Parts: sequence; structure tokens; C-alpha cells
Amino acid sequence: MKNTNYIFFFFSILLFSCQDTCDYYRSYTVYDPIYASMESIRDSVSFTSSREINNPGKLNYNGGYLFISETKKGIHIIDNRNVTNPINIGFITLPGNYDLATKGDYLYADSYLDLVVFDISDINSITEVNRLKNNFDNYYLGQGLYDEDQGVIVGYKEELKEEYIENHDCGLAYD
Amino acid sequence: MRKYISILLIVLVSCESSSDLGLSGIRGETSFSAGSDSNTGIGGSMARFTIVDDYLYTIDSWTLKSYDITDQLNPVYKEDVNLGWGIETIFPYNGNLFIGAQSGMHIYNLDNKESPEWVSTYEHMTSCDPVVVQGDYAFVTLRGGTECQGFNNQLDIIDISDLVRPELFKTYSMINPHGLGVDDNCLFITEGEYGLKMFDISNLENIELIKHFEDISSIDVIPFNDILMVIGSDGFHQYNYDCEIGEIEYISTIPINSL
Repeated sequence: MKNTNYIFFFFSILLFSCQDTCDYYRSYTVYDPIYASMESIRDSVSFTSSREINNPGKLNYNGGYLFISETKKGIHIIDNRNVTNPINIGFITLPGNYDLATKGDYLYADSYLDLVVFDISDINSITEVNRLKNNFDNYYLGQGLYDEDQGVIVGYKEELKEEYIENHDCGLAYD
Repeated sequence: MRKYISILLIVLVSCESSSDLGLSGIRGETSFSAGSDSNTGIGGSMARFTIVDDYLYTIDSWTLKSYDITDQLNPVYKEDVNLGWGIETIFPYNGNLFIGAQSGMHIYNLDNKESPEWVSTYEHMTSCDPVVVQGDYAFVTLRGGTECQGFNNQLDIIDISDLVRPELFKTYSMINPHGLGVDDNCLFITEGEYGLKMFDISNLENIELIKHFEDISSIDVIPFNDILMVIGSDGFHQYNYDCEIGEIEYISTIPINSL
């Protein structure tokens, strides 16, 4: 009988160690997409005074003027007729812009789904003169960046989440 | 699940935008391509829009689109051409489009401007790779890293004298090459945070580093009329260069406040 007790005690320890669990905090970052309708994006196009360059993208040089894309935001206009003193003279607000090309009096640029044409004949008063809507929708659809109901994804809200995990297997606690 | 998808998307987007930033230092077709108008703007080597004569070409990750801009105010969409995957940059030269892709360089001819036709592909290791062309040679930088996949950082000079059979001429190792530009005997390579390099390429068997500006950031360039325009995360810089005597001299900067 004494032997049996020992055996029982031994098994209890085994069982107890099998049930050993860990509680811990786990934190992770969640990126929630922010959508905007193409209508609101189209309405937001404007030509304004110069603004600081923060995140430059593509370049296009034409006739002493340089056009620099501010990635996803618009296009800077630089008067570079005097290369020793280039002057930032204006900014086209054009959400979703990455690429641009110029010829003569016209600038062609993308704005999310649209191809937009600007008249640049008066560099101090650049105006939108035409727009081919939804020309790049296949790309944005394909990348999952466009939803016909919600619009295009214009950014992401970053949220740090923390959760308390209870009774987790200790061996997997930090996987 | 949706959240995971979002995170994945960011990864995809960041590759895209790095190729954007990986942006374009090519000489536009203004000075090189036959028959283009002198009032056509010049893009960098990272360009994804380009104009040849009366056509605007745009590329996204897998599609080339053509637009007739004979009436400049009213572009007319013409055609979609499927290019495969990982398409990054477009450079027009001498009646052809040279397209930088993560898998290699594609050549399309513009005999039919509405509908560019595939000629050949020079394949290389997966990487980010803008391309510029001069004469019988294409200059392609390959950049590795997480956003570009691949591990190589190099300049490939490709013999394109036979457009149907592009062949590797020589490879030179680089640090972290982004955009590039070529003008006569000058080749400019942007090395991201590692600065800007100017090479003398009069002997392609042995190109010679003339100057390395290590203290600026550079991601794309436009060399035009002996003025080098450089864009980087710290500023828009300009230099005066002379390919005859191999000199380059700083002119001006517009600062950039990188956020």
C-alpha cells in the first residue's frame, strides 16, 4: 500500500507539470485602411502657393521648369531657369499622384484611378483641363486598394493592440 | 483576416512606392529618340509615364497603356499591353521602349505606336532595376533588399546592338543603386543614402569612378545640357558636369524636409 501511494504521488507531479500554463501580454500593430471616395478626391484638386518638399517621387523637366511629385499628395513646381537659384513656386494638390509627363503646355499625371490633364501654359496659374476617369482601376482593384463602394485606400490607421493571454502553453508563449 | 490582408497590402505598396522612390534617372527621349518633339519633358530613370511623339505611355505593375495625345487636351485611350509581372520603369529610346521589371528588361518596338510589340527580354536575378539606354548599350542597375527581393547590387551593361538578342556585356558592383542617367561619356548612379557617383564610361570594359559625393542622399537623376538634377531624401541638388574633361561641380540645393 505504501508503494501505491508513492506511485500516485509520482503521477500527480507528472499531471501537474502537464497542466503548467503561462499568462502573458501580447502586443501587435493593426493597420486599418482609410478609404476616400473618388468624388471627394476629384474635388480636392487645386493649385496653391509652394509648400515644403517632404517625400519626393518622380521628376519631369521641361523648359526650365521642374515638376516633382510629392508621393501620393501632388506635384511641386520648381522654377529652375536659373540653376544657381531654383525657386519652389507652387504646388498642385493631386491625391494619389505617383507619375507624371509633360509636353508643351500640358502636364499628364495620375491621381489614383484617374489620368488628369493640366494646362501649364501659365505656370503661375495651373488648371485641370481634362480627366480620364477610372483609367487605372484595374491596377487598384488588383492590388486590393480600391473598393467600388468604399473608394480607394488613401492611408492606414495604425493601432497598437495589447491583449492578455491566459493559460497559454508556455512553450508557445512567444511564438 | 482583413487586418492581415491590410498588412500584406502595405508590404506590397511599399515595394511599389520604393520603386517609385526607387524613382527614374534617365535621360528622357527628348535628346535621344528619333522624331520626338523638343517640347517633350524629360523624366528620370524611375519614370512610369513617358511621351514619345504623339503618344503617352503609362505602366503599372503589369500593364502598358497607350494614349493618343495628338489633341493634347484630349488624350484618347488606345490599348492595354500585358507586360508580365513586377514592371517598374519605362525608358523610350530610338523607336523602342525599354521596360525595367523585377525579372529583367523588356524591349518593345513602337512601329505601331498604338500597340507596342514585344521584341525581347533580357532576364536577370529578381531585383529593382531602372534602365537607361545610349547607343548600343542599356545600363541597368539591380538593387536587392527586402522591398526588391534579391540580393545583388550592381550595374549591368547590356549590349543591345541586336535588339532581338540583348546580351550581358559587363557587370560592375554597386552599393545600393537606385536611379541612373547617362549622357555621352558620363554615367550617373544614385546610391540612395550612400550618395551619388559619376563614372567616365568612354571605355565600357573599364568604367572609371570620377567622383563619389558620399554626403548626399540620391534616388534619381536627370542629366540635361551639362546640368545634373538630383533628387534625394535630403534635397534637390544640382551640379554642373563636363563629360569631356570628367568634372562635376556643385551648384545649388532646395532642401527637403523628409518626414
